[in-house]
Amino acid sequence: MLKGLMFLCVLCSSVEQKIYVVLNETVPCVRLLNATHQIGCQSSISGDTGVLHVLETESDLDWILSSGPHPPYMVIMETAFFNRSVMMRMKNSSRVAGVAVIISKTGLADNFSPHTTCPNQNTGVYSESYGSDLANCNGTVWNPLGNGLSYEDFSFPVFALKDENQTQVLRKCYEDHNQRVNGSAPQYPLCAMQLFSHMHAVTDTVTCMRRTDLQNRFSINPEVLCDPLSDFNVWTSTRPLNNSAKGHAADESVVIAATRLDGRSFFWEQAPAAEGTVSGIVTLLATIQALYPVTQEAPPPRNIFFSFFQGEAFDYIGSSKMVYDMEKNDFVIDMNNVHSMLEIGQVGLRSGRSLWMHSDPVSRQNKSVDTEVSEEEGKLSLFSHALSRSQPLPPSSFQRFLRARRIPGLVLADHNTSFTNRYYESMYDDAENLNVTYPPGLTPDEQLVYETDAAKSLAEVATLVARSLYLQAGGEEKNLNNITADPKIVSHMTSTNTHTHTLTLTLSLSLSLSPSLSLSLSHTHRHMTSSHTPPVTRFVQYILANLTGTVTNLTESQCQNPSELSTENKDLFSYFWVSGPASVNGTREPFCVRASVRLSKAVSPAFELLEYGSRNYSTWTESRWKSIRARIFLVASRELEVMHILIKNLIVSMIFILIYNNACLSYFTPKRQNKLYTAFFFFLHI
Amino acid sequence: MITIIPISLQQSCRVAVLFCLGRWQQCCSILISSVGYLCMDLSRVFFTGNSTMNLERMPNEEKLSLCRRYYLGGFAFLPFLWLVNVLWFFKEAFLKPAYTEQPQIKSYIKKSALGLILWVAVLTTWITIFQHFRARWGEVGDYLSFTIPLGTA
Repeated sequence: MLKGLMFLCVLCSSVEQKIYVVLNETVPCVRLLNATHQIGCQSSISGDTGVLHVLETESDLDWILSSGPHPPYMVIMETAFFNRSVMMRMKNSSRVAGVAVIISKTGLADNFSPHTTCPNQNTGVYSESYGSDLANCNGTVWNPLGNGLSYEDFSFPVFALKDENQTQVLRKCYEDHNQRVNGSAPQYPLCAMQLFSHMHAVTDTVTCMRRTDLQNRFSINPEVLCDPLSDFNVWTSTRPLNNSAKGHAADESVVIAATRLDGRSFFWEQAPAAEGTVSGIVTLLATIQALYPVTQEAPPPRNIFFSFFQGEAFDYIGSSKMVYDMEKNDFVIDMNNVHSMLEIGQVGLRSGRSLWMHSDPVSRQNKSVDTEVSEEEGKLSLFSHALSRSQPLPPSSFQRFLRARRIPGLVLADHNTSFTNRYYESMYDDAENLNVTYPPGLTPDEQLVYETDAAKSLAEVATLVARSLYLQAGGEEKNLNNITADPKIVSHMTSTNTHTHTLTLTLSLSLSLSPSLSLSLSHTHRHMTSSHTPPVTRFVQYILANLTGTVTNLTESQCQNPSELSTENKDLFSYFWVSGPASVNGTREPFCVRASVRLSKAVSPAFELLEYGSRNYSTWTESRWKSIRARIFLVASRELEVMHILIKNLIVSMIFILIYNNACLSYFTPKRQNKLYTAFFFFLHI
Repeated sequence: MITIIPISLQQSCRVAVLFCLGRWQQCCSILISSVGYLCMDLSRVFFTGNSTMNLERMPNEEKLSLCRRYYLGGFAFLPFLWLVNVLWFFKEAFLKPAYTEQPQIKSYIKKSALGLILWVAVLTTWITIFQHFRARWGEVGDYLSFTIPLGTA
């Protein structure tokens, strides 16, 4: 009997495998909420099913939206059709069950940016009270090619198809069953796809956080509906700062060098952001590599504070948190310590031309601020051009610092009025967009050390930034020639190989890197599947430890508890236990690195202040979900399904009547009440 | 980030009232359905002493007392008792030849039916309003709800 049951179970799983083909590589679009709106995509709780149709031509679009006889359709969208007009028509139609977008370079338009035309317009420094003629991009439209798709709310699931083999499976299913023959409609059975991406949160952050709190207080089985976007900023300084002494640091005048750490796109955790973010990160890391040795030998009077801000795409999460901490005296320095600021924006597409220095015209109306900024520009003026006094700042972390105090500062970028990046915050902003190209015939290892043009360009920018930071910190000009960024380091970091590499740097510290530097804001809840690439925060933290740290001879337990030793200072440094370089026979010798690299929490102050509807701070949260998957199968027509159900019900009721009439009547005395109750309970339980 | 919100006394009173109102709705519905069933079975055992309900063999005084008990019990927010009352004693009250206790049973049945119709009307109205407007009520709707559906407003 048991064996029979086991046999049945084996049979039943293989029947499921015969019906459904599960798609493994799924890249969904998820729902995000802020104080007033929800954006992203939602599916129904038991998935959205639709008949497959490949959208290749205009006639396909008409078929899907009006003339096709088997709605709703699950659209397989070619790259060329993924634009605002087509997606809006799909959104307004009731015949579309979902969209799967083919992500490839064939058919890609000249530009595609799903971000808005004016990034972060409500949380920057320009508002009604500060530079009102420059607010809301009245002065300059920074992202004119933006179509705003990432900020629309879709009621059907949208998935991305990145795996070419999987796309082939879908196309084959479509060609075998769903293709139109001689203009007539295809016949059942048809190939259908079901997408599951049910999001728990609705309406906006205020509602979602209220419901989460209600669940936690009163429900037996609490469910969290959404999480605030949070991660860590990475910071370091040329002179170590005492991490336990918060508030104003005595006798410290600090020059801040900043850049952003994150990117985003329409889909979840897909953000190559090569020109948008990686160019800035790599430049700042190379700057630190160039500057650090000289600042140890001939230290300038001012301290230089390097900071990588996380979450800048979502209304400046990281920078607003750091400014908030500084104002609350909850950080190692405060606003009085800050002398000036230099931010590195998008610097990758320079192509031999100069860089542009953006400054804020409103704060420069003040004479003292104006002279300081002009001085800063003078130090950078070797390779870069100053801009007209009427142009506002581009979207940058420096805007949040300006909101708190009018400090002198500059933002370096490769664009004058609007972005040169034609794929800003999209999946196509990858190494190819940065023009990282290798000559043919190189092995992956050779590609890792080859100095591409892009690497050389970024290294030049890094050298410029390093030298001007040194001068800005009050260093002497005679040391400037020793400050040069190494293009090899830059080419390591921008390598585009797809295999995991063991990178051996000059300080014999080895890191394993998965080199497609996919940037995303990582989250703190456990049920979401972890992304396959290492979080960029860790990557930057360890590279900084490598570049600025010293190797010590502490043991592992000493490394984890350095306060026990009198020579080590946990307040000034952090200690990392790292695996060493792979030696010839494959073994590694781990050791302890001491560096002044720290992480600081990057979560919006709105969540600390519990102002979920805040207008001043970022209120972005991401919804939770249970499962995200996709599968394809063949469907029969509606009439056939209905007929099957009716026949099944008929057979079951006939069997019941037969059994009742034969068995029950002979064993029980007929009482009207009994029959009534039995019938009542029977129908209840159905 | 799950934190208990520290709220003011006035707001917490409001929350408590709305919460209790919401829970009372749930209690009522659970009570109505479960006690209704329970009474149907238990009353047989309790009142008649045997487990099968057989109204034909009961003396008329017992029928009247049973009817009265069910009628009175229905006032404790248990409209199911009234429904059972109507179903059991309808034939007794209106379709059997007259006997002494029948007018009283008739009056009880009529009153039970009236009460039942009132309950059905009130519940239907409230349920319709709640289901339609819960999302629009925002905070109040959330506090009145026992389980809030995921993913839809």
